[in-house]
Amino acid sequence: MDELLQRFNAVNVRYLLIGGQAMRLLGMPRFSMDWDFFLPARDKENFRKINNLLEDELDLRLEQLGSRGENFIQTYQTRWGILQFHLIVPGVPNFDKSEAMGTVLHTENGTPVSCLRGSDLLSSKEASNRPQDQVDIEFLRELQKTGKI
Amino acid sequence: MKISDDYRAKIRLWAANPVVLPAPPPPKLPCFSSKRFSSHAEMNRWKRELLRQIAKETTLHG
Repeated sequence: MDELLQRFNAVNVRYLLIGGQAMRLLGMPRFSMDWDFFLPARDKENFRKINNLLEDELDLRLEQLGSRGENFIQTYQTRWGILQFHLIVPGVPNFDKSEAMGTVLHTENGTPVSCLRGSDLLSSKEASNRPQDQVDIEFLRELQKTGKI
Repeated sequence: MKISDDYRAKIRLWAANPVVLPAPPPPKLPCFSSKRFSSHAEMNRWKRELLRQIAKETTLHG
């Protein structure tokens, strides 16, 4: 996965890592099958960059958000794992604001990864409030209490 | 009670000393084509079905 993240970073793809992998990079020992990325919903140049980078992997092109919410989440099985691209993330500001307040975390191999900031990740988990989010929420609240996010 | 039996204590320990652990190798997954969803509910329904399928294959093939 570091290879893909490095490719994204090399051409300045606009993305924010969210979900379980972002939780792992915040230090929670947690497994996730997917890599979830928040993308700007209608940045055509950004979609072009990602489609070019992933040309050999995608059987459907990544598309911008439709007028009726189509393409809200797009899921791909790739050699790096399951990639999920989210064009809207409930509970957090729009992409531009989230990006401005985002944070850079690092993979276990030292690759920098643009991530949704911890407090926004907490808001997104609280907004989803699925049973599987509860432990994540508790971990993020604990980080917040100790001033780590 | 051991501290490891108290999940809240575990969370406090993890949060006190956050460490990025390596991602475990991904599980063998059934092949699927790309999907586009219009809502989280739709995606979650698909994901539950995928997890069911993985569990079934793991039970059958170990």
